[in-house]
Amino acid sequence: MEIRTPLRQFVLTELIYCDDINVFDDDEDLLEAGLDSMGIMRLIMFAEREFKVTLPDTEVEPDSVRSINALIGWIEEHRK
Amino acid sequence: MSGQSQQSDTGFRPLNPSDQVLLAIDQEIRRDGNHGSHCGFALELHGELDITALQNSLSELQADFPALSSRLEQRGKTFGWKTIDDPIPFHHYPCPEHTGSIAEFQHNTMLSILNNGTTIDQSAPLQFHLIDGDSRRLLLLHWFHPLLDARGVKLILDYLVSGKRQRYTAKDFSLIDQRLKRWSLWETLKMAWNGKQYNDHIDRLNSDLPTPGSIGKQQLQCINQSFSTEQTVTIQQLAKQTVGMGYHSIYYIGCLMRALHRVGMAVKNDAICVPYAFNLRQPNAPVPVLGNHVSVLFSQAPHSVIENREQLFKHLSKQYAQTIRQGQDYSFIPWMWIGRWMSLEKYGKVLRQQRGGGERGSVWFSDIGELRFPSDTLFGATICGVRHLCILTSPPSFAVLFGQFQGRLNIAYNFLQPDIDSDWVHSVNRTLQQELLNDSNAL
Repeated sequence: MEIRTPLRQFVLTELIYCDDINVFDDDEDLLEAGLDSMGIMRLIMFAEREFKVTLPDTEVEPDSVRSINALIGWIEEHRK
Repeated sequence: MSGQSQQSDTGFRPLNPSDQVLLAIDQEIRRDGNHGSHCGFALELHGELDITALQNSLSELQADFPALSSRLEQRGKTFGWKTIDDPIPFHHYPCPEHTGSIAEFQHNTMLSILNNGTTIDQSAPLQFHLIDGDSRRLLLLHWFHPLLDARGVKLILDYLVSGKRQRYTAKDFSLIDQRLKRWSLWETLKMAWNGKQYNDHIDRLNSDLPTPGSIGKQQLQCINQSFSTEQTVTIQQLAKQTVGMGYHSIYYIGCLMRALHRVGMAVKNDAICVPYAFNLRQPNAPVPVLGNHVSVLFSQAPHSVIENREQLFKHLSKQYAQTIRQGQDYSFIPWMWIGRWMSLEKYGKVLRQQRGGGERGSVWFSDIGELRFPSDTLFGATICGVRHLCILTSPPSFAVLFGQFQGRLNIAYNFLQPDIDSDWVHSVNRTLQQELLNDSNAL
């Protein structure tokens, strides 16, 4: 199942605000863009539900949630 | 299901379901003899402030948001803001020549503004107060809570310093109504059922209170605690180690519970219960400016759990994760929609009281997170600090508001006197510092 499109859609429309989601780069800093602690929790729930993975709370590190690409890497790691 | 227009052509803006919660709380505060649900957000400003430019901006603000100059009006069962076209009030308080302490003058002026309110039909939804000092002035934004939440006030400040004001004047809407419209009737009923279960669960344990409360009109007092940048880094690292990155506010709540447990409260029951609002606004989104867009969650722990720090944080993290996983964070939204048809008196009781009749919330809590403004300056003056104030119900008569600015964690303890003794607040502050820094020798 493709991750990038639904993940981008969820993060950029539900969790953080950006004027134009089409110009938001996949390496842009999500924490700087406003992803907060509640947003991170919602993101984990979304990923677990949509991509059938378990993302342990203990692995919630800035590096895991820093960007769309980092998130995809984290999710992929747990899908293996 | 509830999608009504926020601004009709008659200049009447109905309250959204979340605004109505704040109106019911306002009535509860007035029943205690105090002046309703008023809040303050003050900026500490250093250097010359261009007052004329600020006042001109307030006129532009009013033109863009007419509801900021209005009065609350009731039409049938609907409450809303009726535009009146008066300027947004701006008051200037020069520093008296022979004042003892300037800091004391500023602090007391701020408190006096909040302690001397007006009747509900005369309450201006938003007022600005400039309080002079020597090198630092305070600009106090004083708002009537049914108008907007703290993030909305932050957006007003962003608007004032922004070069792109059209970002803030785009479509106005209620995020609560928008969320309700997404759900089918079945989903809404399921959410309402979840909300009832959640509330019933919380009400199984009676809450401790810092005061039995409600002895008539009281005075708001405030004590501020600011941490150094080094201490703030330590606290953030401890929060991450203890509860993980996603549970930032839970660390503050846990430390607060521990401090209250150690210091002791006037009314001791089964547990400490901390209600907190979560905001449906997206971080950094410039709209909506007006309206409250919050719903309520609870953190609760019995004393046997609070006694053990490690066990407490495990308990609170699990409770929070479960709440989010089961979608209970949204489950109050249908109840807020139903609440609009209750009398304010009945609604106030439902919001506050447990089944046994006691107050549900042991304390008011808020964490507004790290505040970032688009500019470090406001009309020529540098923003160098922030303060928060809120009037609250009695009981609990005690609010603990967290916020971070320029890398420093700030805590504002707001409390009602004589209900709450300031020595007790100082004790809670000292113990909370130890808990936040996880160090009994922290002071």
